[in-house]
Amino acid sequence: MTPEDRPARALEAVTLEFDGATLVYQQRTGEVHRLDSVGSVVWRVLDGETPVGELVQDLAEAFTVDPAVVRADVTELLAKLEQARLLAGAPDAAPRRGPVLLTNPPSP
Amino acid sequence: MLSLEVDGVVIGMAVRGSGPVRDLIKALEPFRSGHTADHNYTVSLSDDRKVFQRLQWSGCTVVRTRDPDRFTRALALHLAGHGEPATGLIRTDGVVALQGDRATVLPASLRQSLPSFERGLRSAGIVLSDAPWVDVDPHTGEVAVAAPPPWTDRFAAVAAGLPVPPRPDPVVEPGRYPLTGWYFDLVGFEEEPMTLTDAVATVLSGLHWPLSDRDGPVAVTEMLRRTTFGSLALRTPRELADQIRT
Repeated sequence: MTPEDRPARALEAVTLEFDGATLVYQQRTGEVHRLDSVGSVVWRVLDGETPVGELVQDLAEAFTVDPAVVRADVTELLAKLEQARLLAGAPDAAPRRGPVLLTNPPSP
Repeated sequence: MLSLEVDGVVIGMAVRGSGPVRDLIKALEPFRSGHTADHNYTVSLSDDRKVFQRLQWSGCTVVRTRDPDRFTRALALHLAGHGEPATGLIRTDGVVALQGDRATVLPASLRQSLPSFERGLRSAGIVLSDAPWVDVDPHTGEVAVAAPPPWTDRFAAVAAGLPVPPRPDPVVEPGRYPLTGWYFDLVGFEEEPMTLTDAVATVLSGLHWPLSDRDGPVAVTEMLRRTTFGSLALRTPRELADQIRT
């Protein structure tokens, strides 16, 4: 992701914020993701309008941290969010065709 | 092994034993599928009145009974219980325990030792549901117990061919029951209080069908906020019964 990119949260990502924690439920995959405090701050500003470069600059100033460190952390976090299909524009999962095979629950 | 398709889900089932095995295979005929299924279930029938009828799911005995009606009802509930839940319900991992009209959700790991727990719980007035998943209405905070599918009577010949016990087993009747407790597996060795975040994350990640309703995750959170929840170690039926009662 470049500093000019403006990432946005995926429409199917439902954010739950309570008791100081942030959970994100991705409706397409059924996966739940727990964000740490920094991840929560970044997640909130992924509005599709803020460039990554500006986001890094703001975070570096707010937390008085070296922008290079923040850039590395934000880049890593965005890559994880993209992989988890939590960002808008992620490719759709292959549509379901035919019946579903029942999978067994995990073994004891 | 039989490959069956029920409500869009392909299920592999092996049938063995004595008694009405052929009747069961005949009753399952309309569900036969051309798809190759995993081996999910094993049905063990017996015409010996001292031997239990058994339904195993992935190596766990999920139903063990001498009551033919309960057995065929439970078999139908398992076959019909893997599709998409009714609108407004979440279908998640666990076992429903009913005491009177109060429902408690117990961890799915209970199935690993279900026969040994079931008897002890029953003597404490607690009946376990035979359904493979737990259906909950997070908006009302109720556990929904589905009625057996209308085609359950296809198994009438199977039930008729099995020995009749002195008394029937109690079963959880279909309906909606207020959810009073939700217990999860103990993670690790320390019995630390479970946080609401942990509980919500565990419920949402254990869903059998992803939630399409955008309000669903919030409803799950609010429901758990109003419910007693925690993690527990499954040690003895008596201890578990005490936990459910409190």
